[in-house]
Amino acid sequence: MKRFVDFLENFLTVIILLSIVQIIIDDIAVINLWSENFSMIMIFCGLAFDIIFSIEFIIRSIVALKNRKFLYYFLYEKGWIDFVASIPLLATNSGPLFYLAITGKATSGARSIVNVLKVIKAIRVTRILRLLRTLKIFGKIENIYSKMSQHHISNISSLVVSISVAIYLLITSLGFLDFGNIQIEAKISLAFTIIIIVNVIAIAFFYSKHFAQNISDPIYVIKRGMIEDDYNFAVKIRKPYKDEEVFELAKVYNETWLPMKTRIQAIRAKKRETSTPSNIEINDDYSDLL
Amino acid sequence: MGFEQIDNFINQLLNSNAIKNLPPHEKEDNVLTFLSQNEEKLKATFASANYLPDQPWQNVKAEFVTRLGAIITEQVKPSLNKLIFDSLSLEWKAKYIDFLISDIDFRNKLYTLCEKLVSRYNSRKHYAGIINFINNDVLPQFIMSVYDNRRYICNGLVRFDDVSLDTPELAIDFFYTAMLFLPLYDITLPKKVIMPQYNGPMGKAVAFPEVENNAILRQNFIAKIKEIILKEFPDISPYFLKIILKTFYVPEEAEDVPYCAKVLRIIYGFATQWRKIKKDRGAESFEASWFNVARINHKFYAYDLGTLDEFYKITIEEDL
Repeated sequence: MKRFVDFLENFLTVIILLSIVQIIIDDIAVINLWSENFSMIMIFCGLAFDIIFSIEFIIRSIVALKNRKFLYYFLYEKGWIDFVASIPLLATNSGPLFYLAITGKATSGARSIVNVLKVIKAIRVTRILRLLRTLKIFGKIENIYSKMSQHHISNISSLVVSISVAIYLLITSLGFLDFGNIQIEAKISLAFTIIIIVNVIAIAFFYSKHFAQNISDPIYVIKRGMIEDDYNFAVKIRKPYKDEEVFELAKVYNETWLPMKTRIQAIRAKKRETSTPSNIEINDDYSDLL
Repeated sequence: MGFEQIDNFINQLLNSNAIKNLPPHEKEDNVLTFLSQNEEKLKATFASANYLPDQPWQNVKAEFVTRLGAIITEQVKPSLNKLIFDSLSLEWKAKYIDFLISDIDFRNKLYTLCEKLVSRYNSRKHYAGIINFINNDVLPQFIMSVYDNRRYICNGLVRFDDVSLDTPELAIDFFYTAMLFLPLYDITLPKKVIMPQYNGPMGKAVAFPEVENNAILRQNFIAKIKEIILKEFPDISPYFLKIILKTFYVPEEAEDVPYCAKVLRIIYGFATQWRKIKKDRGAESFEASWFNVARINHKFYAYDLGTLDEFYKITIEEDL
């Protein structure tokens, strides 16, 4: 069962990455006026991804409901991202596009018809929600070293991406990006997509390193030092941040807790006749030296 | 049926992937912990027909510990031999005009003393720790920096000690050699030997940490150690002997202790606890952590603060 679940998780990670690639290629296809057949392939791919993510959201919701943890899943396990990046897209973007495609209205000829173009434009506005899928990647990456890092980095990314997507949705629906030229609009969309992806990558690589060095790693060292008997490492205090709460705590740990712990260990070792485990007796006889 | 099954069992444990690459003393402690934690299971195993069904568990356990000690001793001895006869330079001895023993005699006698001590658990543990420390070249990094920086420790060793260790190489070999004497402090002495008025049970023995805080008993214990050293090394330099005997000084004696002995005490404490450990994320290295804690606890351990401060600074400056 675990293998099957692992397989599904890996499969979904690949699908998320492919869906992000599809967003980029879709814009490039519009900018370069690639063939209609290619546009059709993009529409089918978009539909397939939206169906897969909708099914994923429904299954996760059912499982969460069954365990009476739906609210927890929706609010704290990024279920809302699973939702916004699936069913609304299927209903307002890939579904209608697919309908136009199979009824023959989504071809370049049809695009020249003004009312169909308006529908397509309205549909293109919502597709930006797909970028929220970049955040799903964070859920797939399990940080074995720090759950706290994983959680906080994912929160920061969610905030940056969600606010950016919301602003883009707002200014697009208000017509600020309505240039009457689908190629220019696709270029803006592509630029925005790249900005979002670069932001997410920057947070994942640079901010997560900063977070680890200044918050999660010092706490990890303090935790191990407090719990484990033979873990006596001091926290590395980064001078530029020495006045921050975490490093002030680390200073107390380094200068009070750890020295006290080693003193207690020394006293205990002194009290023991030997430092071997308590139920083993070693009686070394040194009389030959006397 | 003899006890050879125990040997086979111990060898299997020692060659297991989890511990086979550890230094001998860590292997021994791992096996002893394994024995302690799995006593009930091992008791059943050794009572089975394939092992020692006729022997009571206490005998089997005692034999297990003895045989393990013997196996580990045989693993430590070749390293000790190599260190004393091949690696250790005794050039520092020329600095002592009253060291009237030839190098080869000194090496032979030192090895004889170490060989006797190493067969006992506590001393073996310390010797294995020292050898591990020396083989990993930990000390030279510190001593080289000490002599490059020419600060507190260098001044102490070169200018203010009776015997000037004026090059880092001399200092390193001096400390290596002196450390090999210190497991002598692991011996236990019959109470009667250090307390002439003692009338309790005859078999009762005491270890140095137990008498450390009692000035008279401490002096008697150290006098016995002196006697043992002089028996083995009648021509030893009195000043070198003083360093060995003053290493575990109490704070009140600090002013009368040669600076070499103060440094030796710190290096010995560091060497016997040193472990080759990869730096953990967010943590200082083992070396920096050790010196940082020792600095704060210097009064507790009677360590020289200036020396610890400089060693700690070196760990930071040299990223050790």
